[in-house]
Amino acid sequence: MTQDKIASALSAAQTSLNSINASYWKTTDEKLHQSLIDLALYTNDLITGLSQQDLSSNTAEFTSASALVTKNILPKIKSIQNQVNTIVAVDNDLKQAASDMMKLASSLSFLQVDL
Amino acid sequence: MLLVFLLTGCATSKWTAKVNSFSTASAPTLTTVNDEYTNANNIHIMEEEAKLVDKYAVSGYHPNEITNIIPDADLKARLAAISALKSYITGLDALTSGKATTSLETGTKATTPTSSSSSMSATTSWALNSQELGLAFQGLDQVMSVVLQAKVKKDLAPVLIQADPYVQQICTLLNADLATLKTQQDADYQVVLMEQSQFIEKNKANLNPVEMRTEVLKLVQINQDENTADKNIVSAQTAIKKLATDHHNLITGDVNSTKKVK
Repeated sequence: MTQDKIASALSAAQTSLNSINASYWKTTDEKLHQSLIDLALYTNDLITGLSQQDLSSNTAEFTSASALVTKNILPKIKSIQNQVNTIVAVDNDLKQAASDMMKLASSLSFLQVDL
Repeated sequence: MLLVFLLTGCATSKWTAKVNSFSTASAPTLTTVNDEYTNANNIHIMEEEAKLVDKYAVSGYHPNEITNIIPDADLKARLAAISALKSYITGLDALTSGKATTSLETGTKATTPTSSSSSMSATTSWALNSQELGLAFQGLDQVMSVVLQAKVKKDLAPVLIQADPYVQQICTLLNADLATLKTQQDADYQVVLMEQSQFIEKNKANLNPVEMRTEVLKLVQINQDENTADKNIVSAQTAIKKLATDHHNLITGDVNSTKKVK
């Protein structure tokens, strides 16, 4: 069954269940209630079967799309991340150098006064 | 030359902020969509269990008839797609927000001269001035920040363009799934409600007023749960559509801004 036909059948089954449900709440007749429940259970089973077919029909596309993201995109992101990490590491080294030099500057100031 | 450099820095900063904003906003959407598979399955199992109870008197106990809303292999494919998209978005977030914590603040704070040491260094002409040195390194840090953002923009923009068709495809598929889950969920709630009503009807002679009240209130609860579940699944659909649109706009917006600069 093609995806369009599944969607069409699913929509028809949903409409039927809505009608069964509306009829159920309109009446208080117990025999009629039991018949409507049986019909609702049958229709719901039909909806479940069609839903599962509908979902399964997209599974291959899901698998293909996620494989392409994993294979084509994520390694590129990882590569850029590695390059960024290198720049950040250089920046961190600069920060450390700045900190060390400023400490040295303060030390030299005190040294000058002591002399 | 300096002006061009500063303008470039400003443009890349805005761009990385947009990418960062997108990734921060999009990550929870995928968690929500992921949860919708679980939520729809839970109500489906509830419906299957109610049916099992209903059939028990007639045909006995058949627990194998209880099935998940989506077979395991199909669910696994969805979870893999959501996971791939999450990894992509997390990667974008790491790339565009990683620089935020790399200022020189720690270095400058640790060695900011006190008033006494400052006055002492002022009397020594040859000693290094730590305040000036701090400013110089802060300037260098800002340059590094611009270099980093320019690099991220240059390298990431083509990846965003390449990823967009996959993002659109996965979002379209997830949206289609949510529509199917909504149909199934609506049907399951309707049947659960009718079955609870049937239970009350069949046993009303044996229920005392308190028990009767409890059972009727279950109908109210099912109705409330149905409304909440319906709103949640519609919100998830809106959010996944927005994720797709925002990702696409990230690229088209960038192209437009580049055109304006030119």
